[in-house]
Amino acid sequence: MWELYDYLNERGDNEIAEWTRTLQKPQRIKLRVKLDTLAQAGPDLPPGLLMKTEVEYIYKLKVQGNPKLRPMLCFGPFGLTDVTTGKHRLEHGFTLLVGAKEISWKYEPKDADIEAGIRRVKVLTDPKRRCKHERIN
Amino acid sequence: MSELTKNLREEFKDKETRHIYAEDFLNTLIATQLKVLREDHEWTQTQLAQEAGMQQERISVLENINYESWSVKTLKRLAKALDVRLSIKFESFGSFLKDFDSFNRETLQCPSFEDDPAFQEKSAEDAASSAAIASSTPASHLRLINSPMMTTAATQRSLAFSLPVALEIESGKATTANQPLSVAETTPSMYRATA
Repeated sequence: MWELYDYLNERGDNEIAEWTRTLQKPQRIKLRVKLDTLAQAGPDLPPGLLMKTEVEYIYKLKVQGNPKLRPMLCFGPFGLTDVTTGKHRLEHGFTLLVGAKEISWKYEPKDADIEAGIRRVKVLTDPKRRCKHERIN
Repeated sequence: MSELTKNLREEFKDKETRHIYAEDFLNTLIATQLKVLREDHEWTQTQLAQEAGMQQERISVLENINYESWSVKTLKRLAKALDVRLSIKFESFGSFLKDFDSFNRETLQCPSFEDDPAFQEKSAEDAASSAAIASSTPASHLRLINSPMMTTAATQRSLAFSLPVALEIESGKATTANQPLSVAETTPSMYRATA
């Protein structure tokens, strides 16, 4: 299993949960399927689940429909060091950073991937800027 | 039962939720299994396309969990190309939870005809000798031998009639040819941006 986390803004609000609540029910369910699949199987097995963006470290989760959902996320982002081998690797999880849609090949909100990159750094700087993923039905 | 399936058990009490969820996951399941079976054949998309009489671009479209316009005709063609049978049947939502909980590479694998233990030449005599061993071996050990969850097609081939090796699997000593990458081996660079 892979852990999922949500980004928290400076007031401590879960922006991913807030964005999810704005979606229509069928879209929320489809998003749920993709997030559960990611948590259950990880990123390697299901083809077409994640896609790189133009921003380093930032990926979009692909959810078809009208509109197309493209929540932005990153691996980890925290690193772990194995005390026995000394090997460094990313934690076994993903952090959801920005709730976004793709309409006519453009993100909504605009520059969602860039914002996700900024938020990833904020989380890295302050681990309290994320929480365990909140399941919205 | 995992935390995830416990949540689904609760959420599936809503009809709209369970139907949309199951339909979307079915797309995920088919696309993922198609990719797993192709990789077990060590085929490229082009090779599978040739076997199925399709274009590579078409295989690329089908091997995507967001594809949702499956036709039975296409699935039959792919099954024939991969030399496996296509099974379509109505199922309860209870079985969905089990399917979801066990969604991984191993459970999606199935041997093509020539690797299918049921059709190996030695199957009859080995079945007899396995039965003899079974009389002195706990049933829980023997179940693994024919478990579809066990390993890859290649490993199944070598294990199908070998009780001692199967018992090694149970004790965690054996390895498989196509194990999923460990976390340490999983790097973001594996994912390519496409249109």
